Amino acid sequence: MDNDGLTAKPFHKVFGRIDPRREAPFLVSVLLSRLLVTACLFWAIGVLQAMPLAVFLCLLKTSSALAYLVLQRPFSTGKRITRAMWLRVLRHSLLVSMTCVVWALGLSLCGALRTVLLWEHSDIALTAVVGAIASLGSTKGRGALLFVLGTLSLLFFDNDQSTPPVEHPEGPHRSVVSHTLYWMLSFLGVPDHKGGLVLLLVGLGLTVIQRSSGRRLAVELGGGKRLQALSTLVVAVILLPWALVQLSTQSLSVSWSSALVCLLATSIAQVIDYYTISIATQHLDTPAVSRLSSMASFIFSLIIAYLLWSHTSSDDHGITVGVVIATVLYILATPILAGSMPRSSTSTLIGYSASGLPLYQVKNSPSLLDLIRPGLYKIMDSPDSRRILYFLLLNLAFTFVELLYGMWTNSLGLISDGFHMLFDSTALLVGLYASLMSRWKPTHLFSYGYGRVEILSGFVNGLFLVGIACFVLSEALNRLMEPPNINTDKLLVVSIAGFIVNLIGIATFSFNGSHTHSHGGHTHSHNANMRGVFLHILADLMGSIGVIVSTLLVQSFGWYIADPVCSLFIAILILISVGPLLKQSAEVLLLATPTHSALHTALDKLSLLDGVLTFSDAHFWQHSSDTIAGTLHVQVAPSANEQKVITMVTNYLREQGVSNLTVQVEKEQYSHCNITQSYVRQLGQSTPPQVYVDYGPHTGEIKAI
Amino acid sequence: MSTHSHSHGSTATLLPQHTQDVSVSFDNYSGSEVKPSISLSGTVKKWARAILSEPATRNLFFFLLINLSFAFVELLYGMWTNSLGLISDSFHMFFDCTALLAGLVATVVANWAPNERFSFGYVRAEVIAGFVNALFLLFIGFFIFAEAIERAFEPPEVSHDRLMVISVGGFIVNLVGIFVFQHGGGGGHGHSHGDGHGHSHGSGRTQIMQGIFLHILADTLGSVGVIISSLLIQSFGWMMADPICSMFIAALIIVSVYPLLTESTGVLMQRTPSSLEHVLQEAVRKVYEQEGVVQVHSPHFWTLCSGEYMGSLRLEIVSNTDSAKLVANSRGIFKGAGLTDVVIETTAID
Repeated sequence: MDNDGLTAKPFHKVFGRIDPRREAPFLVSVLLSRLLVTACLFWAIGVLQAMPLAVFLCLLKTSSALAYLVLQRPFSTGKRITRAMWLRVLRHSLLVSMTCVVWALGLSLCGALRTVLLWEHSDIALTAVVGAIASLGSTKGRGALLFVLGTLSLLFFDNDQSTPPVEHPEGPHRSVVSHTLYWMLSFLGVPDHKGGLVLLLVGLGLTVIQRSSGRRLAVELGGGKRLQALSTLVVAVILLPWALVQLSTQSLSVSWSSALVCLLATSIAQVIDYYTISIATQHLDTPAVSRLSSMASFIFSLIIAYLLWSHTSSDDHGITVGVVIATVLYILATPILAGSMPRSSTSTLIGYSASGLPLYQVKNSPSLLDLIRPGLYKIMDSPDSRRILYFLLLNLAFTFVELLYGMWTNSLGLISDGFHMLFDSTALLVGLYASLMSRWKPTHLFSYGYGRVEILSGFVNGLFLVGIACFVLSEALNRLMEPPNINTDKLLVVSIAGFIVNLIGIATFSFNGSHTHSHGGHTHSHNANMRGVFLHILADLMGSIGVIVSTLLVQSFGWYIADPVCSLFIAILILISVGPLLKQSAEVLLLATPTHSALHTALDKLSLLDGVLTFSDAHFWQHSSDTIAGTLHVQVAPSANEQKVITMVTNYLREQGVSNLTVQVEKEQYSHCNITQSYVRQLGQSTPPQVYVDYGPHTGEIKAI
Repeated sequence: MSTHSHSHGSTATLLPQHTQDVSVSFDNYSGSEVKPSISLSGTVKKWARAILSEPATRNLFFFLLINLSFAFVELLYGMWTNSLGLISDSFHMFFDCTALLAGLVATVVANWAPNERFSFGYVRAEVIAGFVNALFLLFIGFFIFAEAIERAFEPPEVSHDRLMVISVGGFIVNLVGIFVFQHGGGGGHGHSHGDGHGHSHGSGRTQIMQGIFLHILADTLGSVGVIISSLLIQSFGWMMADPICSMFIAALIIVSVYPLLTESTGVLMQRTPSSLEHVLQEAVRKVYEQEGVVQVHSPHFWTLCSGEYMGSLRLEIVSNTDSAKLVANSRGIFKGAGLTDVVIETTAID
């Protein structure tokens, strides 16, 4: 059995262990009943919109209560029910009827697909979500995260109403309750299906409470099925008066016969589903069945909704990207959430005990927080990366708020600006990663360490800025020819907020620059990475200023030309400010001798050191922002002590900032056979340099010159 | 040109007593080698000579001319017929030409001789050009991908106005480019080996050439994609062909650019040359096994530009061994392993 778990395929992980011959019939029947129920739901929604809500619910409950009475016979079998018990059943039924009403309202407001997506979560999954949110960082945390993300995407990314609601959107919804609800929703300025989703979420909480409170009652009554039968009956009775009132005040817009057929079919499907699932639960383990049933519902409802939508495109609760994303997220979340704990933790086979039993090491897969934590500490270690992180978080928060607000108010300008901000954040992310990576220890392959990644990142950031500036420039030139009518809707608010955010960024980063490198007037810090990030923020800041200025000019004077002129100006400013960064980082990448240290003059004095005759092959390059590497050949007098010369030269150059130096000492007898050729620049000559043969500086002939 | 060697830099032959005044003259000279302040025609002549002297750069130059003239003809024809599609495509072609131009400039710059400031010369320009080109292509790939996804959701009305003619024309031009560069690259390769020790300049500019080749390949793929998708749309009305083709091409571009990007990043970050990893390990072991060597410290191996590998390391040796001989032997071992130059420092211990 244990070995079985080790070799389990993904399918088995999702659905639990399956012995095909024994368990397949149950699983197939669960799938079939789910399909039936989902299909009936899509059918019933038409009836619900044509019929008062209470009538719909009452009829539904009555017919299922009749079915339960026939099948379960709750009065004739089992022990007698006391008065106190009846009271508790009544209380339970009240809760059930409340959830039913909420469910029906949600169904009428946001359609069958979204109802299924929100409603068909097993209570195992829901309690797991609540538990995971309460204690952050368990294995189920990831599932909970997926669940929350799915719900959010359903709430915010799902703008299926491209057309504004009509004068009386509640046309088909007839009951007083939905009318007041509509009035409230429109008062709050929320699209109706979003209100329905919120309602369904509330109802979801109610169901969890109802099911967990009903569990004890079910035991006392002698079985959940009996409770289900009784409570359905009581719910039907409770809803009856309201239904009668509604029936007397309102008329139906659908024929009774078709409505009754539909309701009958739906209730029978629900009863069949209830029995199938409870029988399957008896034979299989509960989590497996609940996982299967939830996922089956999601998939079936998505398929049915797609089929309906593609056939009748007039349906206003269509499929949007948000719904698809939510479905995928829910499907991913379900196996994690409704999985039984010990099995979902990965256990690895260590070996076999003396008695031949397999030994496992059970280790819970690390939670997200555990994965992030070490990186976070490293980021916090250095002020550079800490600054970038803070600003990144600020930027992301701003972006998120902007995106959410844009989606809420359905403003395309805000959404596109939000995505632009998100793109900007990638530059910060690259900078952060580079700043982190530059502190990695040298390895066998990267023998000088990873410090150069900062220069590379600065270079790439500079290149990107040049690209952006060129793009803005061409766009501005385009607009200069034909100024478009820009939409200033909410533009000012966004750009002022962006301006403030970037100003904070500039403040934090320029503090860094002045702090570490205030000497001698040149304010540039040698850290190309930080400079790249700084310039990026600067460019954004200038962009915000440009938008503010041009918006004001357009709004107050109607100068539409102000927009392209501002863009042009900003693009040129960006190009000018990026120039030095690009030049310097390119020079470093070209392995230029660093200019900021006095290496040149220091080298000239090298031959004054004791024992040093000449030097050659002096190569020094800036390896990273704080290390200079170099190689040097030194020719020494035959009498000189090599070790002393090496130590002297190394110490002397270390004072000049060369931290990684390799000195090769050469004495005459081995060097003169090493004939090499070299250029020597002829003074004042610009044509290709004259070539002459150098027999080594230490040979007699050269010395004689 | 190929007689120049890096192993002896600019300050190689200075005698102690001459050091001072030579360095002054260098200061007067400051700046790069090929930056004459004479006349424009002189500059042009110099550049032209630099470009035309190498087969690889000559090919590049001629291909650039072909491309430019195609773009120019397209622009003129587009203005004549007032077709916006043609005009915008010609601007795209001009933009493409900048990549070629950058490659050309980088090739010439890489041939500049070393000076005081750039002791290795400008050979790394080649690697940087390859890196930048790869980065650009990657960006373009992602851009096309994003565009394709957007189009997959709502296919726009593609106007077929002369699309076919343009893309077939572009395809032919790029095909010429591919053939030229494959030939040029191969020739350059053979040349660099024929030279033996003296690493020849210009011939081994594989990174630039690789970048440009990939660029042309991407353009060719783009033309093929447009041809296929417009054929599919015209004959079957299958509007999804456009985004699917674009996605496919974007994926191809990204995949083909990836090796160049990682390689040039590795070179720029002074990574141990991946082609010599094992050989160098073996060489270090050989050096270590020499009589008198106690320890090998901080071995650094890196690529200067394609085909040129540098190294430096420190040997801890027993104090009474002949260090010069040991160094000479070790240098021999590393040169045998493929390094162009290696600097060895010795530390004697008791």
